[in-house]
Amino acid sequence: MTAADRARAAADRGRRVVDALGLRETTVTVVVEQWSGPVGVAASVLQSAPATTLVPNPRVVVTAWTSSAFGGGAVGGRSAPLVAATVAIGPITPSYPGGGYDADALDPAPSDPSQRVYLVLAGGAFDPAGERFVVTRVDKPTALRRVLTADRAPQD
Amino acid sequence: MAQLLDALDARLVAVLEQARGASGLGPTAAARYVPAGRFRAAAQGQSPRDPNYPLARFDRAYWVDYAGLADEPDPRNPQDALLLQAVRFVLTVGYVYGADNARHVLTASGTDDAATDVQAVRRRALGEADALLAALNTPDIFADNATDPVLLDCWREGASGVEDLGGGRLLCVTEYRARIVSSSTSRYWP
Repeated sequence: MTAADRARAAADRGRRVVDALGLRETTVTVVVEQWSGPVGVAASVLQSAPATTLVPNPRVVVTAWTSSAFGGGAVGGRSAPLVAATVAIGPITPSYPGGGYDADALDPAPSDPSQRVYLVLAGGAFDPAGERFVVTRVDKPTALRRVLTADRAPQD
Repeated sequence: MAQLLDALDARLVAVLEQARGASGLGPTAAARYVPAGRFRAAAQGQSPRDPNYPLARFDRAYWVDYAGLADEPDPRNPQDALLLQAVRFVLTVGYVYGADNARHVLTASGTDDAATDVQAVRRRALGEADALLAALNTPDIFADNATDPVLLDCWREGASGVEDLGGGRLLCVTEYRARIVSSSTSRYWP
């Protein structure tokens, strides 16, 4: 292990302690759907949807609201005009031997229009059944942390 | 119970997504139909202008915005058995541009190339607007005496235009006017 890897492992251990104390209630799952054809085309059918739940649970904070038809959910207001949340997810530990996540695991790039990638946020301030978000940005403020920015997406 | 615009909406879906005209409707229809898989309905039927509309589902996503309904050519006589009305609707189609958005292009079969599509986006958008007009404007494809209301014809109002939303997203917007003939004794209630 390099010194950077040891530092990442230490940071990850600290984040796992916070999660173990129950202070991180929202699970974040990365889903990559594979369809038989372009997503949204009438003849396309879903073939697979492998999912990866991030461990430990990262911190999830709502940072902004946008008036949007794709708004709503547990944080979007149940009796108010629809607003869609923008969330910051992190810090997430970058990849190191034995743990962490690289950028491709956090925000996989669809290879073509037959793939759809989104996050499912469940628990905490979000619906226990899960709400779909799409990553709009991956920030790398330091070598020990990654932060995702995601917008609420269509829930279909 | 069917609503007044259900037949028109179903016809638009058939033309834009289901290759209506490919066979069985004559040679003119066969020359002008829209191939299946070329376009897709907008996500959850919402406008591509929505700030949260996903980029991955933007290219060649179409949205129909019904904008108006009027008696044609004069105010109706409620004693008439048949009523002629004009429906104004706006057909909006999304297109992506920018090299990094090539993976989001909904490539059609044949010679369609994503890398070229994201560079020639305005040319692509207006060319396809013309092709959509040709299909909707063709009586063999659009018109139907068997629906209720009857679908009479469909025309473009004004010009097709492009609107750059920024962030690699562009819309092609075309306003149409379709004429329908409804029965004054039918109840078009949901």
